[in-house]
Amino acid sequence: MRIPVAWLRELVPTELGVEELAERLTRRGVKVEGIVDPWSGLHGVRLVEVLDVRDHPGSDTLCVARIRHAEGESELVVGVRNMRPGDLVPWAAPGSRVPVLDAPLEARAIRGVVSNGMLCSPRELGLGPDHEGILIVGEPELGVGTDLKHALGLDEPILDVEVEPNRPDFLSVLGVARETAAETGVPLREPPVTVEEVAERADDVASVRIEAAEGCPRYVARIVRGVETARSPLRVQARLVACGMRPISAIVDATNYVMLERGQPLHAFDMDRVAGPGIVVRYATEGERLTTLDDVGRTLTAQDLLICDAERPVALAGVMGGATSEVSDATRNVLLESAFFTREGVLRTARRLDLHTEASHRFERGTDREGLDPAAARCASLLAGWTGGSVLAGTVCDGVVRPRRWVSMRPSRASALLGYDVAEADAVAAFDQLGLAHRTDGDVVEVEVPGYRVDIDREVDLVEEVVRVQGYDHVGSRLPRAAGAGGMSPQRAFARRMKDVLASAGLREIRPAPFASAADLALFDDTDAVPVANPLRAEEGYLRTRLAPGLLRAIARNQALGVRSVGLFEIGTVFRLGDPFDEHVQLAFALAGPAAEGWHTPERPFDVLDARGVLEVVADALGVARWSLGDPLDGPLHPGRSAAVLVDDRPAGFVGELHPRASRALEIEGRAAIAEIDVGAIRDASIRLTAVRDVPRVPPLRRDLAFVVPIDVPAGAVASAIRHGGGDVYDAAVLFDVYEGPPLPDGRKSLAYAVAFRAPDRTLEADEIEPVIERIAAGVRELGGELRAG
Amino acid sequence: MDADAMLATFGSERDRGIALAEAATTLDELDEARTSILGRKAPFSDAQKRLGTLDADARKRVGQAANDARDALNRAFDERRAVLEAQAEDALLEHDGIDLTLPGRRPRSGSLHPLTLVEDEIVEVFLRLGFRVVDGPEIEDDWHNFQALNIPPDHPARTMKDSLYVAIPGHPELLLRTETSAAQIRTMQSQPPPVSIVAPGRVYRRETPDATHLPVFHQVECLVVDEGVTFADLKGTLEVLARALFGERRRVRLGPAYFPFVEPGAEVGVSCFVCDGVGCRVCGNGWIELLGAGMVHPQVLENCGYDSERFTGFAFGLGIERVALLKYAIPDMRMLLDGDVRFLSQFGGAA
Repeated sequence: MRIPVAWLRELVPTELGVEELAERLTRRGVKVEGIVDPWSGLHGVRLVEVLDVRDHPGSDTLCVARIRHAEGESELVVGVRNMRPGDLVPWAAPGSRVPVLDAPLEARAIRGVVSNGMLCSPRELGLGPDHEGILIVGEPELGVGTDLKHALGLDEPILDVEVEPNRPDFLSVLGVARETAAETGVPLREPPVTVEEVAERADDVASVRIEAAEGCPRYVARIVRGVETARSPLRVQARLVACGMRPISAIVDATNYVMLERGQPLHAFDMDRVAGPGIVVRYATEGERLTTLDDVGRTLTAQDLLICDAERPVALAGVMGGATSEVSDATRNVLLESAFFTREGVLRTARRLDLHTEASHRFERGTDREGLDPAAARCASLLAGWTGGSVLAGTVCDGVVRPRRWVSMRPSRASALLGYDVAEADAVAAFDQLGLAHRTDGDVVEVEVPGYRVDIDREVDLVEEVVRVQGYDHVGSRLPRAAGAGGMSPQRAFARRMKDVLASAGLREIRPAPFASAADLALFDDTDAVPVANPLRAEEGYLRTRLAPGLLRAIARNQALGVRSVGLFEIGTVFRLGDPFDEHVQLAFALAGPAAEGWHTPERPFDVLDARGVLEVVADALGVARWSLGDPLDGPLHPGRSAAVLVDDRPAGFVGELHPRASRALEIEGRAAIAEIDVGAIRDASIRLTAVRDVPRVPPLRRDLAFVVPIDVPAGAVASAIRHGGGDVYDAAVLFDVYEGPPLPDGRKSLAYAVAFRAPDRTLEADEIEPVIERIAAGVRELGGELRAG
Repeated sequence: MDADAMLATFGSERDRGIALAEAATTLDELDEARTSILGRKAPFSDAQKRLGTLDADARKRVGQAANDARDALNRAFDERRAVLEAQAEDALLEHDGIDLTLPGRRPRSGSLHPLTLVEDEIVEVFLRLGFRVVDGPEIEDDWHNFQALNIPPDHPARTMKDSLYVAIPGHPELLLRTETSAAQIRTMQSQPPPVSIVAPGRVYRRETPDATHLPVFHQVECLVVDEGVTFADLKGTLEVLARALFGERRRVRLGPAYFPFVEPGAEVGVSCFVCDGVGCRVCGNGWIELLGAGMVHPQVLENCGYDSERFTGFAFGLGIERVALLKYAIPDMRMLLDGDVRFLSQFGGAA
């Protein structure tokens, strides 16, 4: 809500500077987000009388106007010709400034005629979008020489107030003025709500009937007869513009002006286009249609509240008027609506139709149920004044206003919540300052809640008022007593530890947004993704089922930016449909590009064994002994370089290299190794070290053994043969060389192991090992291989 | 050979040997010199062998001189050997040099995401204060996310932040949580008071991302409920947090604000860590608006079956991204999502 300071001062004549006013209001909960001054660039523009307008000798489109101003007469060149002799117009003389120009005006020749400044359109003055012609001032009381900025109250800036939904009273100048009065102690001057009426009674002319009291407890109409087509005063138009609204006509402006002033949305009907004239408030029938002011045909439901005339709907209650009864330049008689519509109803309709207006914004937050008559009177009075119309006596109305409620507060309760002593006198002083009537009953203070305070409902609401008035700086500081032992859940602590392990394994953590595209899902043929009903981006319509796609995208992005060696991990939530859904935490990492970049190491790309290595590190660090690799998986993986990861013999994820086809689709260059595992499975298999093994006291006997085996014998099988053959004296075997090629025959490869043998109780002698090595060799022979050297 | 001749030989051989040792420039030369002086066939040994020909007195005197000379020679050769060996090693090392401006052979660097670092810092503060750290589901139901938090279906606060809904047939109530506050409800439903928890987690809103907003971001929710908890407990806790995150000299300021699930509600400002509250480009007026907080609304306590007359509580929700932006002067929040190694590597290890 934009609150022009000049308007605010009219209601509360405080002399505080704007900055201080803004700061003090903010500290009270009227959040001033900014101070704007659209007219800081307007200076020295005065009103002048047009004496004559003649053609420009050197142009078909321009004209030359002679004007009378306080110091004499001047001539200037004008681009439009809507002004006539006798008109009062704004003149930006040489040396003056207008908001649309960066520099002050100068006298300069335009096609041979010296133009002494310019005449201004509303847009050039920052008074609205209108740029069709020069602004003609229809208010003779503003005479020649009047300074426009001062006369229109544009000297002061505008407060941009963020209104929280519990305080809709701040959606009006009056509401902010009440709080300003309370803050400054300067008494509030409410705008007058008296109205001069003619003898004819409104309720003799029209009728109002509420058939839906639940949605509209009260409806007040005022009738203004004999209005002339007119503009609202410039000062009013300037205020509407300042508040972000567009001046339209005297009638519409009057309703908007009073809405801004008092917070009560009003609607003006062309009474001659309202059948009856009689207003009926009822719910729509299912499928009923109404064309609203914006010329959109709307199909309604039985939950939408309608304002109807004797024959048909004329407005969508609290949201927007209908096209058929709209006021126009031809309107001569006006029926003004000032009604109370319940929040829920307006909210429902506005949301369903996605039709949000200044009126619906206020109604759905709650308007002042007591404010209908004053707003109607104020609006009728302004409207009659601006259009020469007459206000008929009284109102036409139906419905009742709920009596005010009383809410009580115990000062002791306020003390208990706020942590400092709130005496009864403090509470009473706070309510007095806010202008809330109260009475004391024993140790309870009871407060009468006025209609505009829709936020006060129970005791705690009053406690908040007390601390707001006294100032939040009253609140002291202490620490709560510790409620228990505290700590992290084992799940969280485990996942957190896992992050440290992955980071120390040389991977960098990423935290992308957890959405997935259809292509992401197709990558692994996931069909049980949770769709997002209203996704942020249409192409990311699902919650992710796995972390891998996000990692691969990050790899591709880094490669595109010229980062060659990339190792990333994420530990994060994934989602799948279930009963009704399943949400759990997974770990994934991906490696691509050169495995080492440096002068000291030959370059080679990351491959699946690097990923396997990370898995080994994770398993070691987290105490997972029971894991293994299973068969290759379907999916976007290299068939010869991928495997299921089994933890405790159960499938828990996969490790592998991306299939070149998938790499191309994802625009990843070269090999990319990736793994994804369920964190829960790893946690379940993780064993905390409870007892160390004794360490051997004697050194091992080491032998290098080289085997030549058929090329398709897995290294794991040879390692297994060494372990078995080694029996009791097997200690460790490290594969230190893998070789294929000449002089080996085709289809054979050589695997060389450094094997350590050890007896627990003595140093082994070399000849003790010979039979052991023979057993190993026999095992390898069973695999179709042979011991070559050892 | 008489005693005098022997003495002369020992003396001259000693002097000659010391001179040879000193003159030797290589270990080979030195060995050669040693053999020539102390070898079995050298004059020294020759003379020594003849000691037996002397009488006891002379043998003792000359023998002593021979031993002294031999000791002197051994010392001279040993000393020279040490010198030559050191020289030889030095020469070897001179060829074994390496350019120390070459990059080191370092293990590959990894790093934790800045959000993890900030979350760790926040969680650490609360662990010290004896809080439990809890998690909640990201897919929530309307009741936990809204209604229990005093946001009924027709509440205008629901338009403040439009939500993301999941489309699971038969479950229109499910949405992606808009606040970690839902964890408050789940905690209170699962245990009686006293409660003191923090719940870090991801939240979702239908917002357009820009430099300071993301539609998907992280919060840490804090909830304390007990007998006698006051607004002052909230302020004290926030002071501990603000000082842990932004330095010991930080002050905390509460101002009125509205959140449906707390009352009184507060917007919490921390004195600027750049200018110490004077006013600068980071803060504007000396205060950094950091988070929303307040006393748990009695309706929320009642919704969870707590006696709102007996128990009071406070709650707040802190945006982790916002803290990260402030702490690390990150110019654009979207950098946190991108996974750009050149950004991530600044949080530990080289690119």
